[in-house]
Amino acid sequence: MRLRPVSCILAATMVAFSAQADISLLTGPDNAPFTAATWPEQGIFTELVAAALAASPAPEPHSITWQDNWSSQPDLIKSKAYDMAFPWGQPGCEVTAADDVRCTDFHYSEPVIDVVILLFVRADDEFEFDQNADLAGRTLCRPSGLLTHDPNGFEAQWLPNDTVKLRQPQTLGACFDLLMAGRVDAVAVNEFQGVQHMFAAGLTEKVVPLTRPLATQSLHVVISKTHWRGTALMYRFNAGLAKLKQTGAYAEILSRHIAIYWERLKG
Amino acid sequence: MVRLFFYILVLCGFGPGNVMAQACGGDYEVARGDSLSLIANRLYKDAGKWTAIHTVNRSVIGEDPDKILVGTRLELACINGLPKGMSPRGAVSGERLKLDSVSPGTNVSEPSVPPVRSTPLRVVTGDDQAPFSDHRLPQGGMLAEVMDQALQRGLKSRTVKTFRINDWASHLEPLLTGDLMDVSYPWPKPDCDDLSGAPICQAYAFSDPMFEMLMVMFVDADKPVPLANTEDIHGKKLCRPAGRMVFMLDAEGRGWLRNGLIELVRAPTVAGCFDLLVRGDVDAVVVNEFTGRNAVATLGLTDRVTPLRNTPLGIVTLHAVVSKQHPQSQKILAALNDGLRKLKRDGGFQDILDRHLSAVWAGL
Repeated sequence: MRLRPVSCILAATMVAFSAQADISLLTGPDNAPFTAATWPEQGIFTELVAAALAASPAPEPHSITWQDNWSSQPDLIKSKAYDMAFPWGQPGCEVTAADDVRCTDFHYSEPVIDVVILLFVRADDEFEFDQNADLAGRTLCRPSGLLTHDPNGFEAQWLPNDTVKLRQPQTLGACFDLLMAGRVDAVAVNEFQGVQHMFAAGLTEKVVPLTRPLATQSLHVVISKTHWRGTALMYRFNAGLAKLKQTGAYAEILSRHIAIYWERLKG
Repeated sequence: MVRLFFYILVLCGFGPGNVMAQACGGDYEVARGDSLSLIANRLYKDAGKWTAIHTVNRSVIGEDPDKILVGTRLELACINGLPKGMSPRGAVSGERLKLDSVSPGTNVSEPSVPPVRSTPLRVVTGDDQAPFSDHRLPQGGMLAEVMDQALQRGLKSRTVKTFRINDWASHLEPLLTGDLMDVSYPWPKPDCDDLSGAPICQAYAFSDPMFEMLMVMFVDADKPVPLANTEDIHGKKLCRPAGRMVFMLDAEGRGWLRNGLIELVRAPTVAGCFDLLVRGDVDAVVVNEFTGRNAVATLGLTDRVTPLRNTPLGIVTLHAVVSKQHPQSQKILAALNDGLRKLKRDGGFQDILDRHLSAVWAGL
């Protein structure tokens, strides 16, 4: 299975638009299993967002735009070119990053999915990771194009970055290439995408994920705090998401996608 | 202490070019022997119109309409084409307008009535609606600025006079219904198909929405009363600032007020409601999340009062309203909506919201 077929790149610029749409959403492609045009229902996250909006009080139709430049999302949301964007990691607004523009300028939904960030290392590397201090002097790789649109942002809270070097190529594949070339010590990515890439690139014998997670990252839908419907749209979304969890629809969607995920790994 | 029904009237000029001479209405200086009803009888041909003079001039007259001082300058609004021959509002003139300059027999027939377009559109708003409308906020508040800019774009040549009258109840009745004002804002729009909103919708027409938010209950953080179910709410005292709509208490099948499930307490102001809450005299304050959170922060109650954001009383939109009895209600709303669309298109709307809401969130 190839992760990034040409059709996916084309889909990146494809705008799925309904003339009647009231809520416009922005996401990025090539982010399986979360948001990807090639994934059933266009990804776990995409399906959860659509289902939450459909289950929200006073629901309104929505449209989703696929924009392949993740780093443009903050500006497009701030300028209100689109109402909401996903998925975004929350930069620790309650703790360390209260003054960060991503905290001062955006409302974050309740977590839609929590993902575990693991370190993927070379199988022959004796990589000790019992505490964060063990990372001192190591070079980690984290792609800039996956989930994180701001490479200097939310990692800072869980990477002791004065002692850890971070490489940020565009793609996850480039990170694994650097890992296999011995240029970085570990790839830091959520377990879904890391394992997925191990299988896709035939690295299952050469790379292992460390069992101790580097961090847990919650992924959210965001809206500008100066949007004229900011809190109301966010309430709609959160209430819809809560309803999905209450009715079991959330669990159904998640387990269905996880089944697809494992099928695709084998396939 | 804030007094109930205390009117503050602030005349908001939108720059010197906007306040134009009126062919009807204007300034009047109180003479010896005057009373409001005498003035009303002479100039409006209707002694009962003294209430209109009082309403518009409460900031200079005060609460007691019988106490007017010789030499006080009163503004006389143009009502049904009267009074005529007044000095324009704000005109520099040392000359006192004599009562007898308009004799009881003065002809007020139609030909002298100016074309409607030349009379300013009378817009009324009030304070205590932060961040939407309050004269202490920059530009009088976020929606004051939106209204100003939208009307400039929508009305073409017609000018606007904006008044601040803090007795919100008076806006709908009698100011709009009595044709003393043309437009009032901001008001939440009820569900017109619901029993709770139908009477309001029958009497008033709403502009396009200018803002959307949650109507929530603020409760004492130490007494997190579960107020989500009908059983929980039974017998509770809910405070709502005076003059603000209460449809949300009955909407979505609640019928809290209609069925006597709750006791509605009216405080003169938003702060007054929160005073009652922290004193334990009411169980919750019902107010929109923005005005409520602003008051909580201003009053230093952030640790004591919490909004029940997960169980809001509804999603409401804010609008300008006109009386459906107003002969130009449709025309006025069409112009305002046109102005709002233009304002959204040219980016002005977002500029205004960015400025005001950034300050709001920074302060919370």
